[in-house]
Amino acid sequence: MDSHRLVAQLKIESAQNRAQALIEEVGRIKNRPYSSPASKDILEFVQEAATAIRSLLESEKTVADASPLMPAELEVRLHRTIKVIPYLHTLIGFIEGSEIPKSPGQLIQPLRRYVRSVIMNSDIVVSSKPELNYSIREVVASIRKAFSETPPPLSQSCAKLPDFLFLVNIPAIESEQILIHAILSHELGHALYNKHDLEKRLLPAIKIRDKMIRHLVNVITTGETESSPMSEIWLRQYVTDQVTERVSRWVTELSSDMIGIQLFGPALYFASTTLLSSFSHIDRCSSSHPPPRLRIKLMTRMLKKAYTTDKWHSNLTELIKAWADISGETIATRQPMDQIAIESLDRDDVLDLIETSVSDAIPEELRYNSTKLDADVRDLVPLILNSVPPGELGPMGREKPIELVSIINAGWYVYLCQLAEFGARLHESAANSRLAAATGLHRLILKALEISDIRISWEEAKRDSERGKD
Amino acid sequence: MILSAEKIKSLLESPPSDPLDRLVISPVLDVAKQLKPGTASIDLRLGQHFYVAMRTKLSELNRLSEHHQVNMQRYKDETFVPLGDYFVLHPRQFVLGETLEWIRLPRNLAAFVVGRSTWGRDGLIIATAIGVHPHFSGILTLEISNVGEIPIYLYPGFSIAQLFLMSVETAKTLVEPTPSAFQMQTSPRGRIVDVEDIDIIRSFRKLRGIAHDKVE
Repeated sequence: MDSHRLVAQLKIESAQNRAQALIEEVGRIKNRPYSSPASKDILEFVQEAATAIRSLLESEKTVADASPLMPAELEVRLHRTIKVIPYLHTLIGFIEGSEIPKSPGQLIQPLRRYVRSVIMNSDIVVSSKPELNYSIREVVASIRKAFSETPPPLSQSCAKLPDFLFLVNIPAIESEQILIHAILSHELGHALYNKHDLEKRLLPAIKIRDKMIRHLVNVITTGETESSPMSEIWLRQYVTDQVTERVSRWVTELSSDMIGIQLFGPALYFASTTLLSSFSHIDRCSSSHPPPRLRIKLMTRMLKKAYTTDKWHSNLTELIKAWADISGETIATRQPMDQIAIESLDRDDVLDLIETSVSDAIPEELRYNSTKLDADVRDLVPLILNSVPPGELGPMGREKPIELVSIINAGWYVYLCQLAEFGARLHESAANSRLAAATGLHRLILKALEISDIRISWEEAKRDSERGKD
Repeated sequence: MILSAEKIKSLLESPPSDPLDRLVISPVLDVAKQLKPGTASIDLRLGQHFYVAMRTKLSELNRLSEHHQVNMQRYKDETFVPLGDYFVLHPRQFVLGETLEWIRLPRNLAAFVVGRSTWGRDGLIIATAIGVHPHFSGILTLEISNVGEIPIYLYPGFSIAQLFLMSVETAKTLVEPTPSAFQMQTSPRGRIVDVEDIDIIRSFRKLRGIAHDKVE
C-alpha cells in the first residue's frame, strides 16, 4: 500500500473514532433535563450526522483502498465528509450549560416565545457559562452551508433544523439576575441586523474621514529615512482597512443597541448602562466594540427622542441626565485608528441614519413605546410593591398574561425608583440591605415571567385538548 | 369563620380598593374547577419547582449542630419541571414542592392548606406547614412524601391541595406585622431559619451533663 492510501485509511479510522465518540457522548447526555426543547433537537441532529459520517466513511474505505483516484482527489473526497466533525463538537459544547439546574427554567420559555415572535421559524438554546458574557449566535446558516457540500445522506441531516437557531449565552453565576438579561435584546438586535441586511444600507452611507487617515499616514512617515511612495500607499491602505473594519463592526454594535431599545425600551438602556459601567472603562474600545461612551450617547439620544424622559420619576431623570452629560464629553481613545472610527461615526447625520434604518426593520407591534411604559408603571409597579408578581392582569376568569418586556421594564422601574419601599416588605434580614432587596425583586420578576408563561401555555394546551375532542 | 367558595370567588372578582385588603391567588387557571360551588376552599395546583434531598451529601440533619446552616445548603438540590413534564416520587422519598399559585392574604384573612384526599389514597402525603397568616405573600411550600409502595408521577399543574380561608377578627388598631422569614418566597428553597430558643436547648444539654455527646 502506498503512503497516501495508508494515511487515507488512518484518516478514515480516526474520523470514525471521532464520530463514534460523538454518538456515545450524545447517548450519555441526551436524557438530561434541558431548559430549551431545541437542546434535544441539536443533540439528535449531532447523533444523526455522526452516524451518517461513520457509515459514509465505512464505504470510503473501499474507495481509499482500491479506486484509481489521485491522492489529491482522494483527499478532497474524504475532506467533504470529515470537515463537519468539529461543528458537531462545537454544538455539543454549547449544549453544556443548558440543563435546567444551570439555566433558569422560568426564563427560557418566555424568552423562547419572545424570540419566536420577533423572528418566525426560529428556536433558541439558552446555556449558562461561567464567563461574564451575554451573546446570541445564529448557527443554522453556517451549519447548512457546511453540510451543503457534504455527500448524502449527511447533506440531508439539516432538514429537521429550524430556519434560525439562536444559541444564547448568559453568565451562569448571575443567571437569576433577570433585569440584566434585558441585554439579550441587544443580542437579538444582531440577529435582526443580519436578517435585514442592514449593513448594505448603512455602510455605503457612512463616510470614513479620509483627511484624518492621510494626516495619520503623514505623521507616521514623516521622519522615516527610507520612506518610499509604495510604503506610504501600503500604510495608507492598511490604516484605511483597519478603520473600515472598526466602522463596520461598530455600526453593527450601535445598530444592535438601537434595535434593542426599540424592542425592550428603557430596560435595555438601564441594563446596558448598569452592565457596562460595572466592568468596562468608558473610553476603552476594541476592533469589534466601540467605546461604551459612544454607545451610551446614542442610546440616551434615542431614549430621549422616543420617551418623555423629563417627566419620569426624578431618580430616572437624574440618571439619564448624568449619562447624557458623561456621554456628551469627548471620547479619548488610545489608538489613532479608533479615534478616526469615532470621528467617522460620532456625527448627527450618521446617528440619525442608524436610528431610521433600524426603525424600518422592526414591525410596529414589536416596538416598546412610551404608552406601554406608562401603562406598565401604572398597572404593574403597584403589584410589585404589594408583593405580587405581575404575571397577569384582569378580572378573574379573563386574565391576560403580561408580556416579558413589560414585566422587565416594571422591574427596572422598581429597582431604580422604589427599591427601598419594596425591600420594606421583606423579612428584616433583607429589609435593610439593598442587595438583598434586589435579589428579592429579581426572584419576584422571575416568578412573574413564570406565571405569565403558565397562563399562556395553559390556554394553548386547553385549545389543543379541545381540538382533540372535536 | 371559613369562607365559602362563592365568597372566595367574589373577593377575587371584586377586589377592595385598598391593596392591603386584597386577596390575590394567581394564576387561577380554571375558575369552575378550582372553586366548586357549595365547597369551602379553592383547589391549588402543583408548581414547577422541586427541592430534592441529597442523601449522598449528608449524614444527618441536626439543628443543634454548628454546621447546620451549611448542611442545609448542601441538603437539597433544586430542579425545575416545566408543565407537561413530570417528577417521579419513589416510595419513602421526600421532596419539597410548591403551589403553582402565588398567594397573598389581606390583613383580615388567614388560611390553612391540606392535601387533596384523592392523592392521599395513592400514598401521597402533602403535609404542609398548614397555617398561613394574614399578610402572607408567596408560593406555599408543600412537603410531599410517598408513603405508598409504588412510584408516583407528579405533573406540575395537577390539582393537589386545597386552601381554606378564614376571616380574622382584628383589633381596632391595625398592627402591621413583621414580615416572616418565608415572606415573598418564590420557590420551595425558602430560607434557613434557626429554631427559636435553640440556645436554651443547648444549655439544657450542658446542665444535664449530656453536652459531651458529639454534636457536629
